[in-house]
Amino acid sequence: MKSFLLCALTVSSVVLAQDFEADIRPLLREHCVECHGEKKNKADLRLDAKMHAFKGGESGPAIIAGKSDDSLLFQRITSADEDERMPPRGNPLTPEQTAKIKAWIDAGAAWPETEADKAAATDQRLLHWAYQPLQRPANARDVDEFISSKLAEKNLSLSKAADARTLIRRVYFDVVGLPPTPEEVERFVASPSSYEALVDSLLASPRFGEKWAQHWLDVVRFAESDGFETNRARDNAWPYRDYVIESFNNDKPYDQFIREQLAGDALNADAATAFLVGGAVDRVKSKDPVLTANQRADELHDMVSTTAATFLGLTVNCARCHNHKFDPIAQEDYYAMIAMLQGVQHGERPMRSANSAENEKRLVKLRSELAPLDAKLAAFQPRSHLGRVILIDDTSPQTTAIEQPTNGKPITYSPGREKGAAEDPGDATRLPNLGESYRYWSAETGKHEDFFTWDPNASGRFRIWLSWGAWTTHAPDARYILDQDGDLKTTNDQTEIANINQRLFADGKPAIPEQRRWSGLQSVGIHDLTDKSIVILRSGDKGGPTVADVIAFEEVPDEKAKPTVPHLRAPVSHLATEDNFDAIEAKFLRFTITACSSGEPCIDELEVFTPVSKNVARTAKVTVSGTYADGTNTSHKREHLNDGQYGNARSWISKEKGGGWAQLEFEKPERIHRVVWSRDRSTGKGKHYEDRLALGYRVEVSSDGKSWKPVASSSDRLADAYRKRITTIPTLSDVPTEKAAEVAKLTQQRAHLADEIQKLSALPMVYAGNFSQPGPTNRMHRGDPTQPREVVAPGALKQIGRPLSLPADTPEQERRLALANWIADPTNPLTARVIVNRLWHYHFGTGLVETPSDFGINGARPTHPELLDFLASELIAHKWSLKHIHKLILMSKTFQQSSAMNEVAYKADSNARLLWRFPPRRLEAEAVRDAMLVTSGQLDLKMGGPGFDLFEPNDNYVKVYQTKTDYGPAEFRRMVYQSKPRTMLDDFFGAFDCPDAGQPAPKRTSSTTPLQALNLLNSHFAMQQAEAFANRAMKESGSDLAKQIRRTFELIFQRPPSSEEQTDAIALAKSHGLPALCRALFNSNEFIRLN
Amino acid sequence: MNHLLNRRHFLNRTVTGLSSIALTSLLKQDNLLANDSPIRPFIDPSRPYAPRPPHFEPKAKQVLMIFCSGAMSHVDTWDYKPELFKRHDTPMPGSGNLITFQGEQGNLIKPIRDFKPRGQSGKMISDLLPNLAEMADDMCFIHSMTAKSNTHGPAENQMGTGYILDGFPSAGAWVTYALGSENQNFPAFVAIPDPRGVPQIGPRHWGSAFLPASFQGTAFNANKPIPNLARPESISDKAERDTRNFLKRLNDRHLEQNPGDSDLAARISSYELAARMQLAAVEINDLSTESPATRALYGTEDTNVNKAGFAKNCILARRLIERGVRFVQLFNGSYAMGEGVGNWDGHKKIHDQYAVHAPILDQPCAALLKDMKARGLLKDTLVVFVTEFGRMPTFQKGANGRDHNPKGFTVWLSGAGVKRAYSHGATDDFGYQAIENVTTIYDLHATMLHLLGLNHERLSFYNNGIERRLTDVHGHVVKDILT
Repeated sequence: MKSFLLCALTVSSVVLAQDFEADIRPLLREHCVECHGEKKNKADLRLDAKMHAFKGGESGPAIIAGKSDDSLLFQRITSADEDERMPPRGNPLTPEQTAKIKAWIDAGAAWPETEADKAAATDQRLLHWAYQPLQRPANARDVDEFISSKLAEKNLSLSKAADARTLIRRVYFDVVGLPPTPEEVERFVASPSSYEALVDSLLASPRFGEKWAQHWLDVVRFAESDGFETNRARDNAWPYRDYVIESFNNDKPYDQFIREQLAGDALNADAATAFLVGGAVDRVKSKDPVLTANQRADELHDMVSTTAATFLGLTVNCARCHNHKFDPIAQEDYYAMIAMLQGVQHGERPMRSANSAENEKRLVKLRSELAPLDAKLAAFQPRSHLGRVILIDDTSPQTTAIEQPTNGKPITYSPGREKGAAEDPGDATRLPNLGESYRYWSAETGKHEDFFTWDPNASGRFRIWLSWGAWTTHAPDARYILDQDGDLKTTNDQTEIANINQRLFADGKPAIPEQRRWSGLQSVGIHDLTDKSIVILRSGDKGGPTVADVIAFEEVPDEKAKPTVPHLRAPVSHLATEDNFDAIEAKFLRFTITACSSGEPCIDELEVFTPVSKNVARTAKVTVSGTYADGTNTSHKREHLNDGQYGNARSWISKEKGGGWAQLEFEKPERIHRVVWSRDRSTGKGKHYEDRLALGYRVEVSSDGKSWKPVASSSDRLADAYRKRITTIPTLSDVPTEKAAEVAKLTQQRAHLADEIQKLSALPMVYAGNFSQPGPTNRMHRGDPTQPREVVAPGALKQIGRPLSLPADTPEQERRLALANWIADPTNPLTARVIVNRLWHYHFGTGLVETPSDFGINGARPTHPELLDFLASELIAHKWSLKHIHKLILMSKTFQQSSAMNEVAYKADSNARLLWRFPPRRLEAEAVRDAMLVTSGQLDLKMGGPGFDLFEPNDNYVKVYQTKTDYGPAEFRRMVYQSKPRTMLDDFFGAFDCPDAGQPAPKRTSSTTPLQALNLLNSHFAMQQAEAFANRAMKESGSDLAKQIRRTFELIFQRPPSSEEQTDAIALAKSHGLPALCRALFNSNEFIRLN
Repeated sequence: MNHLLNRRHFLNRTVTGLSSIALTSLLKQDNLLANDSPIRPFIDPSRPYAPRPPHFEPKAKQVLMIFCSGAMSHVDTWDYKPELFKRHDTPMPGSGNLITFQGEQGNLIKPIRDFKPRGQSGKMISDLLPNLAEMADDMCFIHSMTAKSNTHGPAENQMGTGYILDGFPSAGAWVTYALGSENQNFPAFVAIPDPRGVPQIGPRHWGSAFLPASFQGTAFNANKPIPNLARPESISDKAERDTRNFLKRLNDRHLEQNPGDSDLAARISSYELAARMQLAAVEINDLSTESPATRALYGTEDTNVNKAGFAKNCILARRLIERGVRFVQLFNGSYAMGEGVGNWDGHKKIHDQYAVHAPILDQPCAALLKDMKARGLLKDTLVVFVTEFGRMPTFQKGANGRDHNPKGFTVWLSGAGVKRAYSHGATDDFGYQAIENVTTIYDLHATMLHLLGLNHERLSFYNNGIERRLTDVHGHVVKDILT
């Protein structure tokens, strides 16, 4: 039986295999081509044309001539495994059919190539219109010709020109996104021939960039937060928004605009590459490697798909998992583009200014000038004083008492580094901001109330220093009382020590309007205190906000001196803490610790210097009060105190909690003037220790080891509570009078230098991505990052534009530059077409291609392909000037025609795709808000910088976005300056179809919802603006209601009211006031509609 | 084929009740286009919430989706695994060096409450949610759910919008885009955030993304009304009437001068809807019309303010469904305020955390189901009870809680079109991985749409180069659970 079958097959094969067309092709066509043909090519295999069939698919060649057993085609149709066997559905091929194929392969698999084979081998998809080279129509002159001739085909024509009022309103909103003023309207109505001049001036206006940047930001899914779960703000993302605005305003050539956004780091445009990382990023990282790989793959996917959609109008993203179903984009192409961007990471980097190389050089020079100044000034660094300096801040609960309820929480100082501002670091003549915040009480006139008391708990003779928050309306006569027995009820022991004008700084200069500044400390004389004495803040005669802040008690070393600042030294630090004193000869030095931050105190090194900076401690004999664990701990030993090595591992720890001492005996008596000690001065990697810090200490010297003289102590240092905030005090309080002028000059020079260095070296950060050399890129089977396949070299799309493939080790930046150049190449058939279509889309509401980010086979066909090519070629011919295209469009009759209804035309072309009229449209959310602010006279035209927030501040780990209900002038800027969170729309404008930046938005929907009505009727913003609008109209038109009403109509509709409207409006305004009318007008269709 | 016949039959029956334009467009698509071509519903701009025909005869007309934020543990609630009791505190076989979201895993740990048979069906459910457990006979469980991500953000995105990425329309937006609403005084889609705050991805659960803004869910709850709903206090009743009359006359004249602009007419009618909404929204939140018995059933007077607040939200949900709102989304749990503080994310101290969350959910939610059943609302309403993923049967190494687990978790459905007292699919012996009838979120969404008479492969919106669907390019209707 078996032999018979074999025999039969052999016989028949000889007969049957001769005719491919008769026997084999029909089999393939019937059983294989449905899945492995032109439409579908599963596993990348096509069996409908000779070229494809022999090339094979994903698993390798399908047919090996002469070897049926090695040919996948034969293996798969005869497989015993049902999952493997082809075709996958229905009955397997009959033995006779498989035998035919076997015989045909074994006989050499002859496949005569027919016309059909040849046709199938050429990629029909490449014939798609958008992949053809640009063709400038030979007879092209202007936009209208193309539009008119298409209209004529349908027996239609352009409408008559729009009237001047309609046109100026249209061109304003269209070009700058704002309404014209009534005066501009009147001027234009008087001379409509000035239209071109109007267009030119609008295109030149800075408002133009603001309006058109918004469109671009939609397309590139720009937002200023991360998205996903945490959705935290990106504080430094805004420079990209400013970059786009500037680029449009300066008419930056579009090809350069492309290059900068992909490789701005190479082109001195750091902010531009925020384009690449403008999308969402998942900040919740986990230990799960699969999740991490997926997160990274999603980031790169966002970059590649946004790049392709934005510049090329292609849905390259479809090829992540498989070859594109419609367009000639292979999965490999997708991964080649991934390789181009694989070195891009989300994050911030410094934003260089235009002349960063010069800056670097200058910095080196400035730093070299700084060093000698520092050396000179070192001689005047404050020496240790043995007297006590006690600072008592208003926030200290132990040493102050609130006698009357305050008005709210302590108020912090205005941010900044200027005199008295929150981060004021101080200088040679001015203390840093020691106040941090102040409390206040609203004092009533003449009511002398005790608000607050400070209790130094120290007896002795002290100079008292006061400070307060300086503000222009604070109390002019706040009184400070010294109460000797600390009991407010007894008054005969009270002395008024000061009457302070809290509208001035301590130096007598006036407070700065709108700035909360720390006054600095003002001396109010020397006073004897008992340990019960307190200072009282009492309201004066004139009332007003009376404030309390830090005050200081300085034990008097010299009664005659008239210091302008108290002597103060910085808090102790775990790093080097220095004590300077007048040089003195000593054989012994003892360092005694009196207070410690925790546990037994630790010192890693104790150094004692002579005036020539020789550390004489190194060779001294050391004795200590005791050592932690009696020296058995290898890290903490007595010998480590003076071994010249820093760090916890080479330190001494006292045996006693909170105290202990170490004594040095020098080899011979030495003249010494400086002690430097530290808890952990180690640098580099590893843990650094700040615990066990000696907070209280004194340094004494002796010549005989018996009688001791103190030379330094912690008593004149700021308390430990200041340690995190104040690390240095640059203020020089020990300058002898005769040196004052010299020191002042030196410090001025130094401050000037330091300022310049700070300005040059502190580069602002921008959320524009980080770049690093990536490893190899693999194609991922089915887009699954856990299934890497072959390595793919960086490159561009193979079938579109010029071929571009780079070596696998191409440097990162070069890849992005190459990709940018490939996109910006004038021969790229898509780039110019896509951008001119976007411009057309925003001018007319619909693009010539209705799908602005899909020019592929599945996208819409252009209504006017020749016009599209005309505009694209104009763009390239005019050095990629976008303003040139804008002007071509704006100057067309098509743009300037009326939007009036024409029933005949409407029947033929209801949505005016052929542009028989200017298509009316609703204003976008931003234009609604901006126009309300313009109309009410409240719009703040400040450009650039960090945006304003429409949401309440919030610091939760998962940021919670709650729409602000109350807006102030800070929010009255144009909406493009809103700091835009991702996927979070504010209650008001979110209802007007603002894209949420979760995904790119090449088109906006324009919906109508009752929530829009509720927002415009009832929101705080609408009510507030209606009020302001009414006030403005009254101010500009006097007391006559009719004139006021006329003004409101002119301001909002750019026209006077009709007599009917006037009557209605008067009635409404008379009954309910002008704001009621203004509220109604903001809700009108005419306001929100553009004709 | 069956569907198509049903659908024609259905259309013939109901043709008078439908917008003729919508019908024409639907039939045109049906006749002229291939059967797998996209269906984009026709939206009349003046009536975006007008009811629109489904693709075929639906079993459910409305949806109530209950979402438990933070990932509710299935092994401590619905998915009974006796092996966990037997193997308590022993390593999970085969788990080797398993690394999940927060890191290494400790031993298998038995459920935090005992399980008992419930109802006539004897379904084993834990004591953590005793009131809900009583309703077991009305529930249809899917024990074999899987999610694509094991972090809350993307996973909540997936349950809410079908995609793990940001920027896609929510399920409710898709449904109302397709079907509009039966209630013309209300938005078609309402989201009710938990009294403690919004869920972790916040408004993305009810966003419309690239669909028209009309289909955004409107978020409010018993304590927090619709933003800008109320007329400002400074505007008197008379001033409001006069203003609206003035506005109407102004807009009517403008429309006369701009004839044939349907958007203008739409805006005028949106003001009328807004006025109706102002009344309806106040009425719907007035729970004083509920009987004391009903209020007690839900627990609105409970001393636990979060429970009382959630109970009020549950009543609100029922009232919205009663009034024909198409899609109601009820949230239990809010954003992360620290692990497990505001929601079901029990990593570290699951005993303590679930003891807080369970009572807030249990009585009110059970009452909602019971009440809806008693009022016959389950006949036309599909209830879907979900969470973003499940939790591990093990405790995290060094903690007393369970880590994220997207490989197996439980959701349940109830009401229109789904079997009662039924369980579909299963996880392995420990509740770690779905192994039987593995079900994806795409499948769940496909099934929801199917029950509403919508073909999930055809309901579509063109955006950014692609015909987008709720189910991306995936999803199979889970036929097994349908009646």
